[in-house]
Parts: sequence; C-alpha cells; structure tokens
Amino acid sequence: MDIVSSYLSNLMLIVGSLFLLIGAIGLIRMPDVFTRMHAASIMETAGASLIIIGLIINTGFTVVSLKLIVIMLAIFYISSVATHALARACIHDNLKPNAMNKESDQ
Amino acid sequence: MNKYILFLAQFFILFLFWYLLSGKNIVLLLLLGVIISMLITTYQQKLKILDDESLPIAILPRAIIYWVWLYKEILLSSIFVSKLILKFPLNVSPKYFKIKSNQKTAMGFNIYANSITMTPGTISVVTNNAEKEIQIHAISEETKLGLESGVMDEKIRKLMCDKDV
Repeated sequence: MDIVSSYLSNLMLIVGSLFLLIGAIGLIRMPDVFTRMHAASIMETAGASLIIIGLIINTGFTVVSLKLIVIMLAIFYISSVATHALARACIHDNLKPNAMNKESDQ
Repeated sequence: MNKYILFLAQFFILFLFWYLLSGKNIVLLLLLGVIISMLITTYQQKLKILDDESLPIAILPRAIIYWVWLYKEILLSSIFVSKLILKFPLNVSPKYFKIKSNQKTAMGFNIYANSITMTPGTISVVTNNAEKEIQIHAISEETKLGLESGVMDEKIRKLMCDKDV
C-alpha cells in the first residue's frame, strides 16, 4: 500500500510538471496574447492541480492535506477570474485577437 | 434554505478555516475561534448578506458531482491543447465567437462563464448577463464545436434545477 501510494504520487508529480513545462513552451511559441492565455491556463489548472493531488497522496490525511485542498480551490477560483479579467482588459484596450482580424478580412 | 441551517453552515466553514490556519489543538485558540466565528456569522445575518446566493450549500451535493465531471473535462482538453502546442509546424487557427446560454439564474450564468474559462482551450472574454450571451475566444475549431454542443450548459442547468423550474 505504501509503495503503491508513493508510486502514484510520484507519477502525479511528474505528469503535473510535464504540463507546466508544456505550458511554458506554449507561452513562448504561441502567436498572440489570447492564444498565450490558453497555454497559461494549462499550467494553472491541470499542472497545479496534479502537483497538489500528488502532494496530498504523499502526505496522507492530515491538516496539511486539508490546507493543500484549500490552496487548490483558491488557485482554481482565482485563476479563472484573473484570466477573464486579463482577456477583458485586452479587449477594452482595443487589442484585437488574431481570430477577429481573420474574420474581418473575409 | 432555512436561515438556521445557513447560520450553522457558515459558522462551521469559518471555524474550519480558523482551525486549518492555526492547526493546533490548544483550548484557548479553539475557544477564540468559536467566539470569533460566532460574532462574524451573527454580524453577517444582521447585515442580511447571508442567503442562498452568498452561501449556496443547497447545490453542494450536485456541485461535487459536477466538479468531478469538470475536472475530467479539464484534463482532456489540457491534453488536447498540449498536443497543439507541441506540434512541430505550429498551426493554430483561433476562433472568436458569441454563444447564447440557456441559464435562467445569474448564478448559473456565472458558473457557466467560469467553467468555460477554467477549461483550457476556451476563454470567456465579455459576458452579458441581461442577454445571457458570452463572447468566447477558442484556440481551435474542435474546442469551439465542443462548446457549441451545449453539454456543459445542460449540466449546469441540471445543477441549478430546483431554481429553474
């Protein structure tokens, strides 16, 4: 049981770190602000949550794991609101996404 | 919801938060936590800001089922966007479009817009609560089609069901 949980938590940590790495690559490769936000949203949902679940499995059920669950919920709520605020600020500042330009060309 | 149930639930949540942040089983600290949580909850009820919208515990059992489904959706679309990022000649064709939601309540609409933003591949950019309309930026045609199939909208209507009907 101990071996299984340690393997499972290590697997979760590795997969979460992979998602963080892919998100960072995406931040550099993507062409404009909005598509870069999509890459960042991989990091803050899948990456962060998998790492935190891995840590919860690693520590077992203690006060620390409850704190980690609270941190995960906070990251989920804050990141979605922050992404929306950033996107809306871009539109408000007349920064048009690439997708909009293509439609107006046609 | 009954206002006594709301009172107890809010008291319990505040006290749990206090206990999590202190993490010690000292009688003085726990007693202080009980007193302060009680004071805050009483004050909230006096201000009349403690209602079904600020503390939606009525939908909590259905919300947990919805969260599990949403988490599965987040992982699937994360894998999809990761594949898109790692493709060697980078080929993204983002879409910007409007979508109409069938939500009846403001809270359902809020949950819908937040769920769209949380799922990688779609971002809700501008929301209009009066028309129940959201402007969405999607990273590809597939995520756009996935959203237009309306599965998520229907799930949230089920989640909020007692208020809709």
